[in-house]
Amino acid sequence: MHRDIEDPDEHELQAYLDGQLPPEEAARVEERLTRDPEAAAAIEAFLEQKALIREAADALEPSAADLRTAALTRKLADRLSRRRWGVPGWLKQVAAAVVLVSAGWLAHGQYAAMGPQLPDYVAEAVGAHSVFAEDRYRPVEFPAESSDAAVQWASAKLGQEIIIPSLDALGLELVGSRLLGTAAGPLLYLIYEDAAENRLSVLVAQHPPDQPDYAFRLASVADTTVGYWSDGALDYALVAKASDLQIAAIAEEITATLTGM
Amino acid sequence: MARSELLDQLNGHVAGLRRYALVLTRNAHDAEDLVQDALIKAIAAADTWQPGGDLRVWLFRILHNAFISDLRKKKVRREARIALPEPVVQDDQTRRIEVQQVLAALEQLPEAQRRPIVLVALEEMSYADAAKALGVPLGTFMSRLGRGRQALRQILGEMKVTKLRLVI
Repeated sequence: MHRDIEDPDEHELQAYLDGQLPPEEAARVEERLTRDPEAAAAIEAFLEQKALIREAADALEPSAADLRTAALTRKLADRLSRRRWGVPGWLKQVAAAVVLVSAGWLAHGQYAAMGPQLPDYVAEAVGAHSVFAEDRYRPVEFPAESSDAAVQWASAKLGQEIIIPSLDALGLELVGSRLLGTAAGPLLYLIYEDAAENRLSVLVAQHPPDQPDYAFRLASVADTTVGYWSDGALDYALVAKASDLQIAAIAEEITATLTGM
Repeated sequence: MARSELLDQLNGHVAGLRRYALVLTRNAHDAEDLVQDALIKAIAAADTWQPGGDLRVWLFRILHNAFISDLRKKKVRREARIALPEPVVQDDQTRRIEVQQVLAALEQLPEAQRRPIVLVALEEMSYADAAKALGVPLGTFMSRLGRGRQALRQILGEMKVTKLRLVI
């Protein structure tokens, strides 16, 4: 018998067998199937078609993966993950997150003047960023996988147990670390990068006991943005070619990671 | 989302694209070409993907456009079809014939009906997403799916009758 395909009931049958219906509508179709053997037979035939098509795909699938397809897939992953930096869609998300979590910081954070007023360790961070972060050959002493030694050394020198913050959530991977001995004291210098190899410097220093704590501050030095703050025991500085909002979002992520929040 | 996470997702989606292309083209070489063509177009169009958007729907959409432009170029579907490889695990001859039959029956359908049937069979996708992936309005998608399935059922039914007659 001819079945009218534009019949709403017919659409409902299709939707039922593809699992597209909410439970109560699905129940109604099931009830209908008990009194409509023709509809029940159609459903059975369509389900069988689906099963056969899936089996055909299984049977046709070559066992060996294609190398070029794999390479193209990796390249696409690179391209898509690059969209995290500096792209309006992503930036809006970060901006929204920052407004939610650190409005206080930004509202009260002062724009520090450039140059001599930056704390010494922040000036060191800016210098280290310009020297090492852009170095494509040997930016770090300790690559990410052997950072434990650097962390032990830094923990001993800084008198604090240091944890290397994970910035995976922001698409930033640790490249590695360096230990710096400077006029501002021993410093742990970390480099992160995103999928497009944009580099971020993170510097951790001992907080001078005679100095007061201070909240998050932003500064611009040359073409980089610097964010720095103190948690009372340790001082932190971030340097990257990034917007104020991005730096604030990264700082927020670091404090959240370090305090386990 | 980190690159590794994206890559995991992409690998899953590419496996889906390949299965779908295999059933559509029935030719391993054509299917791989089609998937690679789609990936190249996706790389070039990476900026059109909105982070947080549905990556799978976006990729299937690109594959479709690639497939359609490929069809236009070739005008005629290639006749060289691979035979199904010997089943490794199950040696169920009847099932094997049925699988061959469904592929042959799909072949007789118009392209516009074949695509929604195969997509919905292989990918767990909402109708709305599937319509988006195929670039047609939801209503059009649903009538093509329904019509196609009816036609497929009829073709498969006729094949069975023919087979029965041969057996008797």
